[in-house]
Amino acid sequence: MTTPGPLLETRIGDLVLKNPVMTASGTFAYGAEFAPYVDLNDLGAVVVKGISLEPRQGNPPPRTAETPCGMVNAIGLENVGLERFLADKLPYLRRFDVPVVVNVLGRQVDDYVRLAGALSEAGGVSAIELNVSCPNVKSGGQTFGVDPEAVNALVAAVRPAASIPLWVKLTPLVTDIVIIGRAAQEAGADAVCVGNTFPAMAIDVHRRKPKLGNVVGGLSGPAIRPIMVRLCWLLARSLDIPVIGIGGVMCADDALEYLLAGARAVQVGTANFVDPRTTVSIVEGLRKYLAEQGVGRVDEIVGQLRLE
Amino acid sequence: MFSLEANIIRQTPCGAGFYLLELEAPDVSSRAAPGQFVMVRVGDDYDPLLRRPLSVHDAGDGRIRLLYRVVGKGTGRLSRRGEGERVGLLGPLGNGFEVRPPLDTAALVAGGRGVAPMLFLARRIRRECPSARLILFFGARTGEELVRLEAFENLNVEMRLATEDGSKGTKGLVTQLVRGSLLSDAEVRIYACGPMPMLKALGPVAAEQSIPAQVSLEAHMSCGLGVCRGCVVKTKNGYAHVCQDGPVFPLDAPDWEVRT
Ligand SMILES: Cc1cc2nc3c(=O)[nH]c(=O)nc-3n(C[C@H](O)[C@H](O)[C@H](O)COP(=O)(O)OP(=O)(O)OC[C@H]3O[C@@H](n4cnc5c(N)ncnc54)[C@H](O)[C@@H]3O)c2cc1C
Ligand SMILES: Cc1cc2nc3c(=O)[nH]c(=O)nc-3n(C[C@H](O)[C@H](O)[C@H](O)COP(=O)(O)O)c2cc1C
Ligand code: FES
Repeated sequence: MTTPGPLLETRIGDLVLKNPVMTASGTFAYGAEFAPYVDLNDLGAVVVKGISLEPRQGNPPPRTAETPCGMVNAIGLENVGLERFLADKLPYLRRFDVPVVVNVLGRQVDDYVRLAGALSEAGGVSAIELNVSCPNVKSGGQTFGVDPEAVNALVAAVRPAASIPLWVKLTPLVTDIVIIGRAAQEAGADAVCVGNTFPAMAIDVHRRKPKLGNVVGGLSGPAIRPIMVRLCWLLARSLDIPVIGIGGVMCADDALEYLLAGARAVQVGTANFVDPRTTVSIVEGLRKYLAEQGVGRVDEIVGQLRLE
Repeated sequence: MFSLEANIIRQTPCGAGFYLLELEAPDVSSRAAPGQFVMVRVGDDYDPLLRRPLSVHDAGDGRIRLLYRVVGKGTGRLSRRGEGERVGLLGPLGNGFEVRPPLDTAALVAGGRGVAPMLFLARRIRRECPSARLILFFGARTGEELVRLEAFENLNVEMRLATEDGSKGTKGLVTQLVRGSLLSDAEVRIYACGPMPMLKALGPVAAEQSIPAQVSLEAHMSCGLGVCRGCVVKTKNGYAHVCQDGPVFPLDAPDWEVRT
């Protein structure tokens, strides 16, 4: 289909997206819940809720708390597990002309390897996104994503099992994100996504209790956007593989911040809760911006931040 | 499920921090069932960020009414919106109360703001089970908090009131009123909404008299759509999601021991 006006198509390695607007894992479930509000065919890609080998129950409530311009969540990676995802959720998504990206999580390297293998063979999955913000059982529960060697080893182990593109979703809580990004790139990642939620907590001062059952959680929403834009900019300048920007994207201008900073695409998370039509509004807004700026293709503005 | 910008027709304070918000929302109005809720965007900016869940207090004539109490930032913000403005509305969401004949007596048990879904429920019972006796057991801390009584009177609902300070109705808890005042030989049903301790205390009362009871629960909700997986309550079979599996549950479904 050819649409008049600026071209929104973008590429993440070999994967072609109709536009640079995807959903972020955990904020769009498995797609069906949004069908009353969004035509999934209009999205750049659907990134589904993180999948583990076995189903997970998640954390005790309360699981979310609102904070200024953001929210802290400790869902605990509740998900249906690989088997039910393949049987019940993926067939629905296959009916649409939209790339499906599956976010995966594990406790040890082997979990990721098995997930990547099964998802590559399933058919209808366009890319795998490794969530490295999970506790690594082997290293005493420290998350994979804070250690460049752990990231390198994980990606290197998963790479041969994944016959489809492999993205690595980084945690923002590291001293030097570029070292971690390089570790992923050297091990064969096709793209990095930056990033996951920022570790955080909120306290109910009247009851003197944590607001979350899990005590700590992850901060998302507009509150984290400036932090993530910077990380994205640092990575885009240093890596050869594409960078995908995530964090507090609420409108087209927010998406444009990431694109100008060097991201080839963005993911929309918490904003889906604020307005289920956010993703398609952003696509519309990008189209308008490009027309106004007289830019022919969205690719032409990627990394075009003026720094004189 | 609809997502729309609804016109505010009017907003009226009802005392004790309660507000009655009337919105133009024909689709939501015609589809809504008692016990269902809507997610309301209280402002256009990002603080507060998330929508707030509010029960449908009443629906009809292309309109819905919400009855809410100001408890924090979001409800405070909403209370300052007025006629001619619009608010984002998502709904109707969740399951509702089951209303089905035969029904001889419906006991609507409300604690505080838990009275919100009861008016729409009373109206629906009047329509579906015209001969049913309707009793509202309504408890609050003070008499001033017993809001919207006239709306229930207009539907010929019998009233049993209780306040903790004794300023109106019986002094004490509403569950004490329910105990002993229901006939267990007829088709009686309990519909309840209120604070967790009230719902928990209702358990033995309903069980003693073998009265089927449905309760509407609250949880922190980010999406209201079954997406974020945040709104869980512990049940006897693991976690249930209040926005999707509820908010109305059979009284014996939640695992009351783990709740505080
Ligand atoms: C299905 C459902 C239906 C509801 N219907 C009504 C109604 O008809 N009328 C009414 O007055 N209230 C209703 N509530 C409660 C209402 O959603 C909360 O009072 C409101 O979200 C608080 O927002 P706030 O920003 O004013 O308060 P905040 O500043 O966020 O918090 C103030 C207090 O409210 C609690 N709270 C915050 N968010 C929620 C939430 N999502 N659910 C429950 N408690 C919360 C906090 O723990 C805190 O104690 C309902 C809740 C649910 C889940
Ligand atoms: C409720 C919720 C659940 C999430 N679940 C996942 C998950 O399963 N896997 C993952 O990699 N990220 C998960 N995330 C993180 C988001 O995908 C995203 O990285 C983060 O929220 C920042 O983007 P935002 O500010 O647009 O929300 C979750 C976020 C939220 C708010
Ligand atoms: S509020 Fe998001 S799953 Fe229930």
